Amino acid sequence: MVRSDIEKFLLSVEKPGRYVGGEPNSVVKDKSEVNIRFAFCFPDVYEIGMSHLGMKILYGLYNSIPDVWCERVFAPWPDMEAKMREHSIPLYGLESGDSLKEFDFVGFTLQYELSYSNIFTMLDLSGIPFRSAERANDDPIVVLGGPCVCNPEPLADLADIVSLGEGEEVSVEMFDLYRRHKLSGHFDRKKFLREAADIPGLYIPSLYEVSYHEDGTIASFTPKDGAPERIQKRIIQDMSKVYYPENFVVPIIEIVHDRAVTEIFRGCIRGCRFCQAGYIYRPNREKDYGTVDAQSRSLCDTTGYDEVSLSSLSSSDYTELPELLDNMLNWTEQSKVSISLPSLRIDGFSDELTEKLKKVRRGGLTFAPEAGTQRLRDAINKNVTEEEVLNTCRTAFNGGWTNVKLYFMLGLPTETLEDVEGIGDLSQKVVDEFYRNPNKPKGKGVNVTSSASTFVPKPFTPFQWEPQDDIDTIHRKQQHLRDSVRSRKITLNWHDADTSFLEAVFARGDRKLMNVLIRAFEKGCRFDGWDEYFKLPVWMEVFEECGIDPAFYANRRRSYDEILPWDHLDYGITKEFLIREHKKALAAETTPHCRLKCANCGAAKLTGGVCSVFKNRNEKRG
Amino acid sequence: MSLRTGMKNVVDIQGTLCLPIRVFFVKEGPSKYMSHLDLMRCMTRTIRRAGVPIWYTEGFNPHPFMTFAMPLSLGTSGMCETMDVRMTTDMPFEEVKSRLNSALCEGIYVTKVDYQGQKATAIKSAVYQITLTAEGFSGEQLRDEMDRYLSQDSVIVQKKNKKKQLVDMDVKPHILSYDVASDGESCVLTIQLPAGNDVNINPGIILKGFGNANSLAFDQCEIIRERILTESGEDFQ
Repeated sequence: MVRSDIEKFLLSVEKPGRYVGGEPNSVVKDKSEVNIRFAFCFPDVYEIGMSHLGMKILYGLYNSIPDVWCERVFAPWPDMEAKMREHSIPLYGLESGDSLKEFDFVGFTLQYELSYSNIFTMLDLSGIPFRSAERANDDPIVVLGGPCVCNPEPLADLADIVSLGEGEEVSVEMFDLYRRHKLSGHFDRKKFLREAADIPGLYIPSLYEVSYHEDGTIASFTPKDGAPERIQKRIIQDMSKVYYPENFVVPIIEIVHDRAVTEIFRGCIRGCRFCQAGYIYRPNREKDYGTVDAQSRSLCDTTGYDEVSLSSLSSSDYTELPELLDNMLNWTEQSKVSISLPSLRIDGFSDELTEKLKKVRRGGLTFAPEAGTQRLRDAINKNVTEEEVLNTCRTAFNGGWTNVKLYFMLGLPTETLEDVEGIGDLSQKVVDEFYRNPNKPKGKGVNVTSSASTFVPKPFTPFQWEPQDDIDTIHRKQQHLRDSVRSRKITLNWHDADTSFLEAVFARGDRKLMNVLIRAFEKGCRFDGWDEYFKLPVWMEVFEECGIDPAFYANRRRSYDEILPWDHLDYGITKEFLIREHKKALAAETTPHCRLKCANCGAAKLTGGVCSVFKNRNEKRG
Repeated sequence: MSLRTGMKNVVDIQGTLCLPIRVFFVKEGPSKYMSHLDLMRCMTRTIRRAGVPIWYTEGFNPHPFMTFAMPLSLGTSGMCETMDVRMTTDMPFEEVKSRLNSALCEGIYVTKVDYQGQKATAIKSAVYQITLTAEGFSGEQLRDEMDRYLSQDSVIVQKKNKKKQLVDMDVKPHILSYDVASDGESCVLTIQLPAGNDVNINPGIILKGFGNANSLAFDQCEIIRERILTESGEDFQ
C-alpha cells in the first residue's frame, strides 16, 4: 500500500515505484491476527534486493506460517532518504506502510560488505538504536543473516541475533521461542536472547567478551552465561524436501534479475581457494531434477515470467543436467519460456550440452579462468587448463558465438607481473582461436571482453591469512595489464581497487570497526557499492578519527596461530584443512574436486558423518 | 475452445486464427508509479498468469503483440486506459475480464473487454481532473488564482521541443474547456486538452506554468485522466 504522506513528493524522486508496494503475490495480512511481524531488510536499493533469491525463499516461508507476517524493506536511494527526513517519515515495510519500530523482528541480510553503511541508514530512519545494548525491551529484535555473517564481528555490537548458515529451519525455531516468550505476557528481551543462544545456529554476540593484545589482535574470546563456546552453522539436509516458494513477488518496475529462479544445488565441489562461497556453503547438496522441473514450471505459472534461471555456484556440475534440460524443454518451448544457465564452468561445456543450450538462452558466453597462467591457476585451485579454455571457445565459435567474456582477478596470492601479462596473453589466444576456426560465423568479428577484479581475501578460505595487495600495487598491476593488451578485439575492464580495499577491511574485521561504521554513517557514507556514492577519502578520515589502521585488517599477513575474529564460528570446514590448502597454494599444488577425491574438509559432520557428495553418488548408483 | 473462421471479427494472422480484443482498464494507486515500459512488462506477465492465450510475434525473439492507445505519464492515474491484444482462443469476454482481474496488481483493474472499435487515430482529446493543494492557500484562493490564470488571453507555458530545449508556448488556444471548483481544502480543475497523434498537451506543463506564475509549490497534485474522447466528443471505444 502507498503511504499517503509520501505521495506528495513521490514524483520528485527517482523511480517512485520502488517505494509503493502492491506488487502481485505480495502478502498483506491483518495485523491484529498475527503474533510475529518480521521486516526483511535488504540494505541496498529495491531493484537489487528484489533480485535476491534468499529473500524470496524466506519471505514465502515466513508468510506460510499463519501468525507470522513478513514484509520487505529496502534502502531508500539518497534522494528518497532526504525527502523522508524532510517530512519526518520513518522507514516502513512495503506491505503495511508501518514503521520498522512496530515490528517484532528487523532482519538484515548481509550479502556484501559494502552494504553495511546502509544498515545504519535504515536503523536510523526507523528510530532503532544502533547498538544491541542500547535497545529497550520493546524495540525490535535485530537479526543478521546471509553469507557475510560468517564474520559478523564488525556488526557484532549491532546484532541482537546472528543466524549462521541456511535459514529455513532455524528461523522457524526462533519464531517458536519468540512466540512463547511474547505470549507469556511478560517479554524479557535479555531472557529471550539467552534462550535463543541454545538454538543451534543462533549466535548472540552480547554473550561473548573479546579482549585484545596490545598489537590489536585478539587475546581471548569468552562466552558468558553458559553460552556455547562455538556456534555451528545450520544446513538443510534434503534439498528436494525443503520449502521452496510457489510464487515470487513480481515487481512493477524492472529489477536486475527479473525472472523466475530455481535452485539446483547448494554448495560446490570445486574448492577454488579464493572463493568464499565454495567453502561456506559446503557440503554440496543437489535437488533432484524432477523437483527442479516442477518448481520451475509452477513459478512460471504463478509469476508470468517467461524466463527461468537455474541457480547454483557451478551449473555444469549438476549431475542430472541433461535429464533436467530434456524435461524442461518439453514444456518451456511450448509456453515460450527461456531457460538460462548461469555459472557454467569451462570444462563442463561438452558438444552435447552446447547442442541443448542452443535451445536455451543464448546470451554471451562467460568464462572465469580467474588467472592468466597455469601456475597461478594451480595455486588458486582453479582446475582449468589453457587447452580447456581454448577448446571450449572453439566449440562455442563453432556454435555461432562471437562474444566471449573472460573474468580474471588481480592481486591473487603469489601473483607476479608475469601472471598479470598472462591475462593479456590468454585473451589474445582466444582471439587467435576464433580466426583459426574454419567454421567461424561468416562476416562477423570476435569480441573478447576481459574483466579483472581485485582479489579480496575472505574468512573461511585458505587465503584468510593472506594480505591484500595495497592500492598502489593494484594500480601498478592494472597499468601493467593495460600495457600488455594490444588487440582491438579485446576490451579490458578493471575493477576499482578502492572499493575492494574497503571490502577487505570489513571482510576480516573485528568488533573495533563498529565505531568506524557509525561515524561513516554520520559523515554521510551511503551505498558504498555504487561508484557514484563511494568516497574512500571520507572513509580514510573516519579511520583516522577512530584511531583505526585499515591496513591492519586488509594488508596484514596473519600467522596460523592468531585468533581470528570468526574462529568461534563453525562452518563445518576445519582450520587444519584450510591450512593444508593454504600450504598447497603456496606450492602451486592442486586439490581434486570432491567427487574425484575427498579432501577431508570437515563439512561431512554437518550431514551426519557421511558427506552428501558421496551419499548422493551411492544412491544414484544403487 | 478454439476459434473458427467466420466467427465475428476473427482474423488469420500468419496462419493463426486470432480475435483482436480491446481491454479497458483503470490505472491508479501504486500502479500509477509504473512507467509505460513497466506497464507493458506487467501486462505481459498478467496475461500469462491469467492463462489468456494471446498471439505472439513470430521470429527470433517472440513477444506478445500488444498496443496501448494512449500511454500515460508516470504519476498520472487513468480511468479509461486501453490495451489491444489478439486472443488465440474463444473465451467469453467476461471470463477474460475476471481472469485478468484476479491476476493484476494493486491499482489496475479491468472494467470491460470488447471487440476493437475505433482506431487509436480517432482519439482527439482527453479530460483530466486535477486536485491541488498548496501551503498558505485555501481551496477557494487556489480556485480563484487558477481561474484568473486560465482566463488570460494567452497562457504562456514552457514545453520541451524535439531537441529537448525548453521553449515558450501559448496553450490558451489548445484549452478546449475547463472548470475550476473548490471543496474547501483543495482546488479541483477539470480540463479538456488535445490528445492523440496530432497535438498532445500534457496538463503537467500548465500546472507548472501556474505554479511558476504564482510562485507556489503544490502540496498535493493529483492528476486523473477521466475520459479519452474522439472528434465527435464521444468516449473512445
